[in-house]
Amino acid sequence: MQNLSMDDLQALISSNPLTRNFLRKELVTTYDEFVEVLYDEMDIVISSLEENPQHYYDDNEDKITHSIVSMLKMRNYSATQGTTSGGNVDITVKCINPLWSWIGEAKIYASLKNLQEGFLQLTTRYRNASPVFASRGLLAYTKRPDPAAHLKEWDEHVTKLSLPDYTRSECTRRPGMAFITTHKDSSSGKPVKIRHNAIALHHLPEDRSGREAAKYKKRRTEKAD
Amino acid sequence: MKMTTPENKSDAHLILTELWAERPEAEAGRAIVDFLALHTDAVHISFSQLFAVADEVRIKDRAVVLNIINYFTGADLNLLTTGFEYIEDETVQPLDIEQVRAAKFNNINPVTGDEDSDIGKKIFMFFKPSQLAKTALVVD
Repeated sequence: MQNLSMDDLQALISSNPLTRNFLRKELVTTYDEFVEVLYDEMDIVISSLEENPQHYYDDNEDKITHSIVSMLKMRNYSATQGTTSGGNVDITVKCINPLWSWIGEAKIYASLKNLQEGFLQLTTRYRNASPVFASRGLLAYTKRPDPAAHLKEWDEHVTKLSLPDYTRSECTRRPGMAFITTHKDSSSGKPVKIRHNAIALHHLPEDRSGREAAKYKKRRTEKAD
Repeated sequence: MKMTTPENKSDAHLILTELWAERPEAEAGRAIVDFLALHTDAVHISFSQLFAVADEVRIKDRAVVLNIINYFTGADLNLLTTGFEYIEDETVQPLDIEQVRAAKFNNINPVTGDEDSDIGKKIFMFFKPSQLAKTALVVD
């Protein structure tokens, strides 16, 4: 059997969602590159959730997070749930370099108030492996329809928080479904970069079988938790 | 789900089963773990050797084997350390990561320093057992 050149390998992995970033990960030399590749991987994971919201609609926060963590592990990250680092961080992702980590707070986005609690945990309680390399993420599992509108509401809310040295930009990877902010961390004094993600998990089919299924009838009469 | 640092070969098998469950990656992974346990002093393991190891347990799908190789090179269960080498005719030269980056992203030939549009055909990735593999997999 012949061995694989870099070109051969690239051809084999380019259409495989689990390994398409294999070579890129091997060639990462900076924290920003680590985060860039992680977000590419994370977006594949998020899209697999959004593609099948029926599998996750009835799941609680921990169960959805567990699915994300498993999918990140399969992509070769050390991904853990509930790791202690200032508090029990929902998602901690690490690579081979022990100084580089990404931390994420996950919430079922039922209201601005509960997302605000998650944001405060993420920004005032949890810690990255190093304050110098501090990218974080807020994952808003949105079971209500129109997640982009709810994210916009959150976006406006965050702007009003008057965080020190605050900047905000669009996320070009998931336009309308994510945005990026930076602000000065109250503890370290260093900038913290946060990607705020709405994850679309609303599922209420209106076709005949959807109209007649008992679980959807029940869902129509109650608000998503 | 806990942090995955195996203390022995059985732990490594268990970690694979917990994550990959019934997927063929679990079986391919166990075969590669057993192979690494017998070759902890190896200094050069090629893709084709790992494909052959998986083939012995009837895993013929290269995508499956690549999935598990990718997994073993990462931080969750880091059993493989990667290296790169330049091979052309009689020339075989180890490369550092900056040389590979220059080749991958700018088509720079690491031996000549010139632009080389075929450089991707001359660079090969290979593997060695990681430090974790050397310490954990020798214990049954």
